[in-house]
Amino acid sequence: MIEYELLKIIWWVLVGVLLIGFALTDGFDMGSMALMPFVGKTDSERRAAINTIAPHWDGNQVWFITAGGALFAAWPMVYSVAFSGMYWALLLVLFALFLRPVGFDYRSKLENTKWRNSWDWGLCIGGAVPALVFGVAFGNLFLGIPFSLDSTLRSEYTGSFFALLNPFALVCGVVSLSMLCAHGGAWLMLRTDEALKQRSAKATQIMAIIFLICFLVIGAWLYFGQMPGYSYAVAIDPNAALNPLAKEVVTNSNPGWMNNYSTYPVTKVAPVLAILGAIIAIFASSKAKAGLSFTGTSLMIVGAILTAGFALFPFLLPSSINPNSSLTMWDAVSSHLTLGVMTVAACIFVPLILIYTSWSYYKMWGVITNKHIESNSHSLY
Amino acid sequence: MLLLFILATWAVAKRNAENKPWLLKYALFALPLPWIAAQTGWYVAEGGRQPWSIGEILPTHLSTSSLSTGDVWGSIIALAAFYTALLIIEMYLMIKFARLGPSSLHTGKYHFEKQEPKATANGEALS
Repeated sequence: MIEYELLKIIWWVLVGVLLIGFALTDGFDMGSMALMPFVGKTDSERRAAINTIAPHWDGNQVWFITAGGALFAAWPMVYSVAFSGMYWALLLVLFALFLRPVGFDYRSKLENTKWRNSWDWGLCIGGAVPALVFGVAFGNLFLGIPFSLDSTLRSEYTGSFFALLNPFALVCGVVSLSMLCAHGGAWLMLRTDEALKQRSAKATQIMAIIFLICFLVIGAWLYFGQMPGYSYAVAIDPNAALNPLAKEVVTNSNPGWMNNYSTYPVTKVAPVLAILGAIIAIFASSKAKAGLSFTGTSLMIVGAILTAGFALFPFLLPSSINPNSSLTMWDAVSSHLTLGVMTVAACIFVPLILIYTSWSYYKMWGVITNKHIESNSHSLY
Repeated sequence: MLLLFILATWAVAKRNAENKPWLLKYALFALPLPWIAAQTGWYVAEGGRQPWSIGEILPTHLSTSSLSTGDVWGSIIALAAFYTALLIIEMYLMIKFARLGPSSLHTGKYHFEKQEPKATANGEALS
């Protein structure tokens, strides 16, 4: 069997891959729906936008479910602390996501304008709110989550929902919202035409500019803002089964969360990738080059998520009130056997998911025009 | 429920389900059965295992979260309200489209579309 230490690293990478897969695929669902009421002026345009993702959105959501499932199986402590701690934030995401499947199915069933408009805004909320909340949650990881573990490893969360909405985390929320909106806009550029495509290009450009500014602001805030980063005070044995409470964590403001970037300079590739992606997206969307814009926004997403992951490593959930309770990928992890079994399962099923997903995109590719919507108005979403 | 599955499989294989009104009625009134089965199964499994969450490994009082009673009530009420609203919308659409039948697809192949326009006038406005 593979060594425990290596398995822990494999699962840190795999959860990252699932999160990136989620942001790349479900990201354009959420982004394009958040933009839909703004870029789609007529009913046909809005329907065209909806029909670009309607056959794919639940397939894309598999990445989200798998990431949640992998979190539960690989890092059960992180799952329980995050989900019961940030309970109301999670419910907010859940309720916003409820609006998507019903929105897609109900919207075009009746021809009433008021009915359709209400569902359009429902779909917009279902895209924008999760995109914002995920960013806010990530932002709070850098600040630390107010929880502590008791001797039975049960977590006690002492924060409130509104404490999550602090300025730093809100800027992180704008980063993720603008990132996914730019990605959704680039998706609409790929799959639609005429006025809708032009407006989507404009939206992609604006969103990529907002992303670039906020991403740099967050970087500067972490670098100059004396924000404390977390690190181990005493080295641990990464190959052992560790109790999260049996460690000593220190916080320091210099170099703070930038520590990994100075220790391992190769990790600087991640923020460079995010910035480069944003610049490509801004220029390509101004020239209405759909494929290049989508490449740019995809690089942006990969870069931004890796940037956060590298900065936090090996921490997953830093605790602001009791740093020794912080959870890391060395100690909040499942047993050696569990990780081994999961690795075998992942080797079989992740390629399977990739194959059927690519096949369904291949079969349903193409530009959706207003004419196509109007001639199939009773069978499309 | 199992009996219904067997009878329905048989009728579908023979392609004569539409000639057996008693089977169709049976299927209609059996709609709540899977829900009842799921609920009772849940009570038996969860109730019977108490006081453990994972039999003889993790006791329930250690496996619960530290959420307050208010948090749990709040989320139950919110979920119930949301699903009730969806149920009302769903029922409205289901009844509307069940009345229209497959002719709501406007393919020109189905029952109402082959009759005189007078027959469709009885139904609601076609979508």
